[in-house]
Amino acid sequence: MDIIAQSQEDKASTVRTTCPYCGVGCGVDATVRAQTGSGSSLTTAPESNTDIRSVRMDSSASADSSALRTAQDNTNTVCAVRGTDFHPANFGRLCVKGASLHETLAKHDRLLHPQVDGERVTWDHALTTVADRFKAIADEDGPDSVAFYLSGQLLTEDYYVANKLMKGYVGTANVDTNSRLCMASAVAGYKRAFGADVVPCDYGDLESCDLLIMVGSNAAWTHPVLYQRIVAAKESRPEMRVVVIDPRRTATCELADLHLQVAPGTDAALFNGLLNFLHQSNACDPKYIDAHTEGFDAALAAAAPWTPAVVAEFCEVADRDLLTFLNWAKDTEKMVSFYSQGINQSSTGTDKCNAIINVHLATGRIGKVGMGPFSITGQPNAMGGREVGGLANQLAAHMGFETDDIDRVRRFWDAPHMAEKPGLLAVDLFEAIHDGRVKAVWIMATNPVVSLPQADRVQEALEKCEFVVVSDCIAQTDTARLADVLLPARGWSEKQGTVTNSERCISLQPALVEPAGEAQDDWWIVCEVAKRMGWSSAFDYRSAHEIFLEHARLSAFENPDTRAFNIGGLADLTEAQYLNLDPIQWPVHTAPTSDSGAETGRTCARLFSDGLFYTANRRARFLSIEAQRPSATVSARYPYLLNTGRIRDQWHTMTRTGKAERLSQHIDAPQLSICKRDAMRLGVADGDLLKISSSAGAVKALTCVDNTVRPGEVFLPMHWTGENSSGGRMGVVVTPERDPYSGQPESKQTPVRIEPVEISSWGVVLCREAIADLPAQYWVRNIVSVDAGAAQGSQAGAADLAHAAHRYEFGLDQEIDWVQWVEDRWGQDLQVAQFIDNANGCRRLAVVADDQLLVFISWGDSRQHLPNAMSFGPLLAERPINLMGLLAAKAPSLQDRGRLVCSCFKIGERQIRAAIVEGADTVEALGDELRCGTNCGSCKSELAAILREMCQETA
Amino acid sequence: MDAQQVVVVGNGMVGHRCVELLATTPADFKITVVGGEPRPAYDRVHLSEFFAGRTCEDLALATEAGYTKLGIRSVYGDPVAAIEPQSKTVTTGSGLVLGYDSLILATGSYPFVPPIPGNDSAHCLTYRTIEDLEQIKASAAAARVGVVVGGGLLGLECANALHNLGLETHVVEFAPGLMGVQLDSSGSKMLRRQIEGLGVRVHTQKATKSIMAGDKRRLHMEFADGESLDTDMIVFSAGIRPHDQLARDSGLAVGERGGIVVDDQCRTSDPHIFAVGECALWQGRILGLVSPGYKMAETAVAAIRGAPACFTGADMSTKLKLLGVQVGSIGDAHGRAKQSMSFSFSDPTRQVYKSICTSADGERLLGAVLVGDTDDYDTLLQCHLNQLPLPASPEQLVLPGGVSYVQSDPGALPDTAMICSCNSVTKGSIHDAIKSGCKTLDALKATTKAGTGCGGCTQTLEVLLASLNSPADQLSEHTLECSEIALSKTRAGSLEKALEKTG
Repeated sequence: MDIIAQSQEDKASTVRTTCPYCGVGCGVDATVRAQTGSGSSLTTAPESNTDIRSVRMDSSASADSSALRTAQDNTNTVCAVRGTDFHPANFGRLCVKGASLHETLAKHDRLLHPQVDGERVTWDHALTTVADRFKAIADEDGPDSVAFYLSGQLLTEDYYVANKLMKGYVGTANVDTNSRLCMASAVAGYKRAFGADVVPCDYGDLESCDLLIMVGSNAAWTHPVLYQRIVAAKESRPEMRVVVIDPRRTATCELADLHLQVAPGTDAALFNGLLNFLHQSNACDPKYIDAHTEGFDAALAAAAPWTPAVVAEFCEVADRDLLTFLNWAKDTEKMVSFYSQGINQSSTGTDKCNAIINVHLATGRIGKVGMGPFSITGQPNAMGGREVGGLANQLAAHMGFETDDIDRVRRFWDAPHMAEKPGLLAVDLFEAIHDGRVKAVWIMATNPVVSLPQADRVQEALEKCEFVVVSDCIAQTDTARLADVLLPARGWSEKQGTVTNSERCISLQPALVEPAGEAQDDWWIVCEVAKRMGWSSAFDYRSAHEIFLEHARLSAFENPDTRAFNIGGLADLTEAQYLNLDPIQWPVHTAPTSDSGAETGRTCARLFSDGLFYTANRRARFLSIEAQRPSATVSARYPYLLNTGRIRDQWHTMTRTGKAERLSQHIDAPQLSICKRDAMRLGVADGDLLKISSSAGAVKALTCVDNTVRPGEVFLPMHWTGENSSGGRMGVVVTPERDPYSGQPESKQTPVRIEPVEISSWGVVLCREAIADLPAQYWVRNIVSVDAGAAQGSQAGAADLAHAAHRYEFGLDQEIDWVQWVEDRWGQDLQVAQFIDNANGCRRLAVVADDQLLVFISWGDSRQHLPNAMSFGPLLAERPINLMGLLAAKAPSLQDRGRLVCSCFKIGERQIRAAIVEGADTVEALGDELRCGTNCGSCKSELAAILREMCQETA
Repeated sequence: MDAQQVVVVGNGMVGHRCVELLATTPADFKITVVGGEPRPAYDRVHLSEFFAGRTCEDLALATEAGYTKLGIRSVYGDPVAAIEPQSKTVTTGSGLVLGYDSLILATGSYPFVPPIPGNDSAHCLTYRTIEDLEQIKASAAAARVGVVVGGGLLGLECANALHNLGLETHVVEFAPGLMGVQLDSSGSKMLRRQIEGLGVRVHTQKATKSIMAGDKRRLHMEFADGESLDTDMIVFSAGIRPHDQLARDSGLAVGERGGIVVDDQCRTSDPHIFAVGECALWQGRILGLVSPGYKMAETAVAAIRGAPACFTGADMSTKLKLLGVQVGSIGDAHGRAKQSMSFSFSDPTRQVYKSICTSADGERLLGAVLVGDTDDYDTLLQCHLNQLPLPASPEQLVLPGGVSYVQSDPGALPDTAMICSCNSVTKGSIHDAIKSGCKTLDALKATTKAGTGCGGCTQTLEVLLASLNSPADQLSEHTLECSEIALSKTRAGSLEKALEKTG
């Protein structure tokens, strides 16, 4: 290892980029190593002895928009990542997902070539096919018979050209995005209140406020870097208070001074109650209300019935806790309301947003340091999509479908066929595909067959659809399987362009390595199709940079501060300036000077500090909110309420985070959180398989008995797909109830029925190959590393297939002759070692081919015999093969460390509990002892929870 | 006291054993043996060697003259037709009436021929007696293709015979695997691979639907799955059925699916009548090997003598060579015991499969299967029979890279250790025999009977002979060291032989 590192020392360089996961948008310093020839993949710890120097782009290197793509015989790899010290989002921090980025770049599962009807074709053939079919269908059945379904993971430039093609040239606004599932209600709420989709806060406000209200957000897991910033702020200013409002007792609650475990979907009542209480307590700001708002009286009247007593009963919280919250809010000027999917994903999500905003308007707590209603987004570039207007109910660049706007955009684009009315929102779009109104759809960078409500119906819709195009990085996804045309897209580290994070900060993601196979930038793919549809000159961009400049010009076009989004100051960036763009917050009216911004992270004046909003009369609007319960309610048939969301170490459908072994060890299977009482009622214990059904469909998950959910309520993670599990596709069970203003589905409150599923044989298959047809009723797949170094907790990972294996956990209701299965699959020339333990009802099978362990299967009549630790992957690579160890479970790596808590250092719950018994009595002491929690800090809240529980037990 | 009249019905291996045991005290008994076959007892275990050139005389266990010399009356080719328990007489087909005080039924079994239309066609044969073999030989003379129906131990021996006669040989088995009684499924698969490697075609999970005259060959077989096979001859070896008609006719209790019901003294429902060997149903089971048959013979003869004896089942372990493939099966070969664990390793490159079943604590051997390499058979058998402790990590006995196992080295065995389970010969007896002058294997076999049943213990006998006759033995008979030297000598010897062959 040392020798390799030395020989390549001079070829390592560090390049600044942006994390592609959540909406925090952290700056990332990627160490890129150029390897000559076909060199093997190299995995080293970030501290490795390489000469790292920061590379700034120069324009001469960027002629083909890929500055770091060097000569063909070189292969660049990202071999390490760390947080960018001066990036205003993270100041050097990274969460465990971001810190594992370099472990997720293996190419074995990538889509490498264009395909039409399952056959590999040339790009020209594929692009012409897409152009011809879209044009033919739009000509035949009208422009509204075609649609795009985009993603918050596209770059702003990709979004811009897709939006321009559909709304200005094809002539339809059927351009929606998976951001519809994420923050559409927040957009609608801001627009109703401010007349513009403006997030009026920045991350610094989370640190400078005195009262932070976190509503429907498990930031500790979903936005860990912001959470860590809040933790640090609270440590330095203990007087700062944090209130968490969530039906679940999440990891975020570890930070809370007060947790209101409200009944699901009752947040609007709580904030109506707060508005009413503030008014009753004379804590409103009449001067601000008079000067800068309208509609206060009506909003107050709607809130008037919500006395504390009524609210406490409605929200099912203790009077005392409620009053604590109300009084803290009354008494604390510097208040931020920080909200996420718990608010947005609701049939009344927009109203909930406005109930929150109402409180800030009524107290004038907006447009000032440490104050404001702060929506946090879930995707890396949901914000960029909003700015472009890449949503069906927006036109472009903060303009809507008013006649003036349409005319203005038409002139700017010189557009032949302007869309003149809003298009179909996500759920309606797929319904229209299902009933044949939309006949052609192009899905980019997203997986609606997993993520949309009624996912089985979405699948049906795509099966029926005349023409389905999917552009994606990954070859096998639940959606890609249904495509007529598959287009290989470049992924993070290959593609180049800008993203905007949740505090309106624009950052660049540069291309660092060669693209996989023939993969292309999404903007390029869209433009090539547009050219083949006959609009060559309008889409003749040579680079993302050129697109960005046009986007910037449109934002400033005829915009005398009538539209909040304005980055006209960036419209003249040279390519070199663009490639070296420091993170910059919009609006940007004038060109940035070299010394502006970066040090403070503040590059523009605080929005709304002047009390002027973007409504016609420049006044902010109060909305009269009628608080309601979720539209679907539990019944005898569906007696439980299902909540869904993210887990700590996975992101979306796991196509990237699923490749890093350590990210699969915190929670390695779809599991349903259920309280002890309900588990007893169902007669199930931890690990038992459950079927969860709603009126839309059914999924399967393992029982996880915990006290984080309220009785009658359950929680299921959103990440598992048909590709990595037999029944964990969460979208199947979610019903299509949605918000009337935003069209956002109510993914957090679905009434379900829960039944135990009989399993008589539990087991694990460990194999170097992916097994598409595992003969089991239940299975879930993870990637395990077979690199011994990775297993020992270094930063190295399953960077390519040579170091990775697939681990399938399975459940069967009958025995299978696994030896026969192995022979049917791989033939009979295999060495087969077996172990059968009749007394304990468990078996193991190790199969050797060509002196390598080909497959290892361990199974038994209960889950207690499953080898729990996932790190037995290295046994696949061990020489000589340790058959005795494998069969008799004596290999050290099979020893159970317990559930993984610290993913960075691979520290398990059992080790932590042991250390606590030995005397480690604080999170810091545990860190000293085991190193857990000392890197990204994502697990600190869990460490605290384990400590608290153990100390309560012993007290 | 007058000598007891004992009639032994059946002169197969077990019947012969009864006669031998009774004859050890000639004054006590007046023995008559009635054989259904035209000749005295012969070694059915090694019957297939008939095809390799061994004659009837070679296989014979007894001769009429020999019997006569011992004062034993023998009757051949005139089977017993009836038993009259009231009058305590038996009547042969020719009308000969023999009185008895004790009657031993050792009528053995007959091959089961599945009820398939056409199973009585010409060239549809069975494989049990020398007469059967003569017919097979005759049929094969003008045949090119032969089919054995039945993939058990006997069926494969028969297939071996047909193969050696130069026929294109097929084995048709109803069950999923070969030798399902003795081998676990992986062992069975390994055996199949090797047999197929020799050119014998194996068809498993095949039910024969009909047999008819064929166009291309003499016979045409059709199977339930729609496939068919043309052949010149068919040998049925699909298991055995107890010869119990005589007992049935005389009102003795028989099992629902055949077999003369016996108790632990091998006594039938009539206290004066005993049944032993493959015709006897003990605890609902027919035990189709020679070793339990001999044990039953011992039990019945002891009971007749009035001595306390009890049949408690017998070790069904077996070692044999099928079509050149070494196969061994010990004890709980399938690893069925609830409180047990099993390790196995199947190595197609070496063509070896080994499995062991141990007690749940891993300390005792409950069973084993060996295919392709039975070098460990004796060691494992001793370990099993004598409940010797296994080494730590018993999986190393079968997995590659494990140490070779010398712990139950015969020299280190206790004197009570059972060496020949067919004839119940302990190490002590063998020791005594060697001390009293047995210098060769043949002498040892003649004196102790050890190694004369299935022959599975022959190697152990050789080791014991070598070890106890060695000069070192004079100093210290039982030291592990010396027996190790002896053992390695033996192994070196067999290695040399192997090299000679390949060279």
